[in-house]
Amino acid sequence: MNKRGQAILIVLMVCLILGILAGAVLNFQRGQINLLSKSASDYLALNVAEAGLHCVLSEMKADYQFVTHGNPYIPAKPDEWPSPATRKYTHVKSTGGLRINDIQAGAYTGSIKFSKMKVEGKFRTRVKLINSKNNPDTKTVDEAHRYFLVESVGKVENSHRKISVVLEKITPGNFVLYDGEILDLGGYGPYRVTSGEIKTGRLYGHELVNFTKRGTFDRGAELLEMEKISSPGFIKAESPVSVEFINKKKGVIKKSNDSTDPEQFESYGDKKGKTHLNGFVLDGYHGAKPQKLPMLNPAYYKNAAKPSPKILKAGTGFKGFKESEWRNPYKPNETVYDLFFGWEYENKDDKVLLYSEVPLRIWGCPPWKALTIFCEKDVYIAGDFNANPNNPQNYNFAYKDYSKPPRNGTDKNGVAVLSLGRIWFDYSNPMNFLRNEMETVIDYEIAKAFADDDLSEIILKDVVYPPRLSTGSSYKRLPMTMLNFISVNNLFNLPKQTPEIIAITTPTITMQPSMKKLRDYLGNGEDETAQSNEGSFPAPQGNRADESSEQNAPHFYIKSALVRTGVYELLGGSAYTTGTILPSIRDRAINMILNCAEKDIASDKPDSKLGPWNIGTRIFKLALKNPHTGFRMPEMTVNAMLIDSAELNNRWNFGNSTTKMNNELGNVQNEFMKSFPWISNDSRFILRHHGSMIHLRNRPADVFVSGAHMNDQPVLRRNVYDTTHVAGGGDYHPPYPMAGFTIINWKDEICFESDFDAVK
Amino acid sequence: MKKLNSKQAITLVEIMIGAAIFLMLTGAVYKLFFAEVKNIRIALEHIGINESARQFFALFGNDVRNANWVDYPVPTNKETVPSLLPLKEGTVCVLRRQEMDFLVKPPAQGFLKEETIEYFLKKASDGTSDLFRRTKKATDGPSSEGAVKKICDGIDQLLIFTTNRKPINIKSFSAALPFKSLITHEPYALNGNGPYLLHVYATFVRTGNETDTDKKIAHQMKTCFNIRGKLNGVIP
Repeated sequence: MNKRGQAILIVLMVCLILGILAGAVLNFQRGQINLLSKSASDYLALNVAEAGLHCVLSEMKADYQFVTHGNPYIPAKPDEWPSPATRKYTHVKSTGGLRINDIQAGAYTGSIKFSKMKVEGKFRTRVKLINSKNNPDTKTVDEAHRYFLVESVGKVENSHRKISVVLEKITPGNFVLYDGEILDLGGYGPYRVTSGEIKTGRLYGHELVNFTKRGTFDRGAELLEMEKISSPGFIKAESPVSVEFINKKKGVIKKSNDSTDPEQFESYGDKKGKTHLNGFVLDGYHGAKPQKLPMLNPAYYKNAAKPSPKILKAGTGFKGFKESEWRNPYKPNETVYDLFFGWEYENKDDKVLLYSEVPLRIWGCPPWKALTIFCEKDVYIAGDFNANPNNPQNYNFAYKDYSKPPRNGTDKNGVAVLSLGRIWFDYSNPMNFLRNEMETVIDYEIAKAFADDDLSEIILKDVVYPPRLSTGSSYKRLPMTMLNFISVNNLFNLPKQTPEIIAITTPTITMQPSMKKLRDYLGNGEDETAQSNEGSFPAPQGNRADESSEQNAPHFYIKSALVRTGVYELLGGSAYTTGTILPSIRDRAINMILNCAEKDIASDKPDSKLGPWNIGTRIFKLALKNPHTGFRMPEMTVNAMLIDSAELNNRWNFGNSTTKMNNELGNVQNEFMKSFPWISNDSRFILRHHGSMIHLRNRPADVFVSGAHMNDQPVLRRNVYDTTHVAGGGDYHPPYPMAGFTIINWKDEICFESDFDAVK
Repeated sequence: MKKLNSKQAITLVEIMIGAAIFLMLTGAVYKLFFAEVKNIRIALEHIGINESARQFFALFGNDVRNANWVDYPVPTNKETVPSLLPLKEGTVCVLRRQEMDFLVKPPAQGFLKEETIEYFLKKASDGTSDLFRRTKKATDGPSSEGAVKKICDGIDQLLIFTTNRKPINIKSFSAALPFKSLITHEPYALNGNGPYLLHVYATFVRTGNETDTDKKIAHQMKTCFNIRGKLNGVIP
């Protein structure tokens, strides 16, 4: 028997065994590769779905009312998708591998090309308002219009992934104070003598909420009815601040319980173990949600349809709109346009959108129930804005807030002002914001000019400044009669035979000695009748705003001799013919004086002796002495939601410091603003803003604000929350409110072709 | 003439040569066979490790994406991250997931339905750790163990953390655009911090045996996952 070849046989057998083993390994590996490629396409499908989701999110951040189905006001039934909504165009454009389909209704669709992998993914995305219920505990949030459901399905080859997310809509109306970078509460003070209050609304600083005071003498503000104080960064308390939350829980935010030590942080919410639930004070460590509002989108406002915008630019004809002679001293080459709405309060049943391509300087009473002003440049609020002049402006204790909150339709309308630059408070021209306050003081000083020095204040109070309790007709002043006012008596007792009547009631009435005090009051210190100076007021010398010139008051110089004479004749003539000066006659005279003062102050060469530059301190002192009467604290009242975009580029110290230079101008001598100081440093001027103050901080600021062009020593800033801007609708809700959106819930899952097809 | 024998005997030399060749072949085959067996075993172990890592990251990544908050671990200052020690046993992460029931009127607690997902390690007999996932709904009650499932094995070390920045001291700064970077900080998404970004360092090892002198570490990963939801309350 031949036994050769046994070795080969053995080798072959070994090879066979090895081959089988290698085959098994290869087979296993192929299975793995298949599994991995399925995982990869699943992963790609998820990414494609996510791309669709983010495209829709971008659309919503550019078009704040964007939905693919239904509308943002009427929620859909829980399990249904309402009919597709139409859209003219998409803000997101195709780019690179991303393609957005040009479909003008319903689902938002597109595709992504993965060129290296040689595959293409498709997405279909839809969004609707969720039918959610309003929480009665919250005043600053409208839950029924807050939550949106986005479904996005991605498809890559045979893999499908579906993402369902809940979006939370963030509206500026949620906040009383919002800052896209650092919210420094000290910047909204000071509160002197006693602490102030910031009531209702939410506080948000994207990087930091910093509780400071504006210098040593600032007592800070108490926070009342707070719903949320949050920052996804930190909350720091350089100074302690008292807080009361909507659930009546009280506390103090201080160094020992701020973000410095996360273990000691106090959220004033419920806790479950170490977890904070429903915290009212939240930092990033403890779960504060980022609530960053997006950049303002000019195209959204410019292309709006209902209402369509009135475009304001150089040469536009619009009531109250004209090129201004006023200049911002920080940028004197910038041409600013005045937009004065007049002083008469109305509430026409209109929603109006104004779009300005030029810097605006605004004041007065917009006559429409709802107004949005969008400005591509800076906005200067130069006087009382959207405030009924008849509002009594009565404050509660320590001038914290009005004793009666202003109401839509009576005291104000719904207004929002949005700027791509800064929004400034310009208190350089007192005629734009102290006119109401001046009226009573001038009336008082006219009354004094007709009275003996010893006339009782009780009589003066009934005649000039009775209690003023509410907006409207309840404010009744009495006539000045010859019984109490000696000069009225003297004038009335002048002979009334025919020749004398003619002689006296025309030019000569002004020459009467009984009119001397009034002549001195309105004159420039030189008696126009060239008669004796007895009883006259000394001539004003230079700027009267500081305390040293107090002995010169009262005096209200107007330039026009013609107007002065007209006033003398009107008041003197009334006294002469009837023995009384009715409030309506005095009002006419006061209006003549103020209209003249307005022209004087705007003339080429402003004069520091003019009445408006010298009355501020007197307004303050009389209001302080006679609260809740016709006298009102000097105040600039701004009733509007204010949203500006510029980054902070101001001199600003984040400690307890007075070095916090707001975007403010005025109360200084300045040629570009044609202004002088108008109130002394030891007096007080209330800068009252009613509505949310939103600093987006997402566009570059142009000039550095050093604070050189303002003297805010007498300024008391008040910021008050306004619920007008919460609800999604209503007559007074300004059109086209902006919004931000945050993903608050996420669910992704494998799905099928039918799910992809169902999104349409 | 010499007659040749057809049945010539095998000489000793031939036997020796044959035996030597056989021994060499057998030796080579033996070595080849067992080397291949070892390689296959290692390859299988690697595949197993890969599969473990894939399962862990797929499932964990999915849970993180769908979560609203990390209950554990609490954020640590980013400066202290290098001193953190990885775990071999015990809870490594607890995620909280919330669902909103919009049919419920807040502030009723039913508006938010919560579930926790816990990942924990248990030591296996081979010195490595097995990873388990436990899900528990808020309605399950405190005594409930929840549903537990083994996710993978072969974990040598696992470290999961979130980071937080130390609060900045800014009171001495004066703000102006050129100095802005001194007083503000980059958003979380840019600098890799924040409570919604979970960092994971994981080391997977092959099981091997006691005589195996090769380095056992098969897979080391450093990655992070972003929580897509946000922590919600009944008061938004």
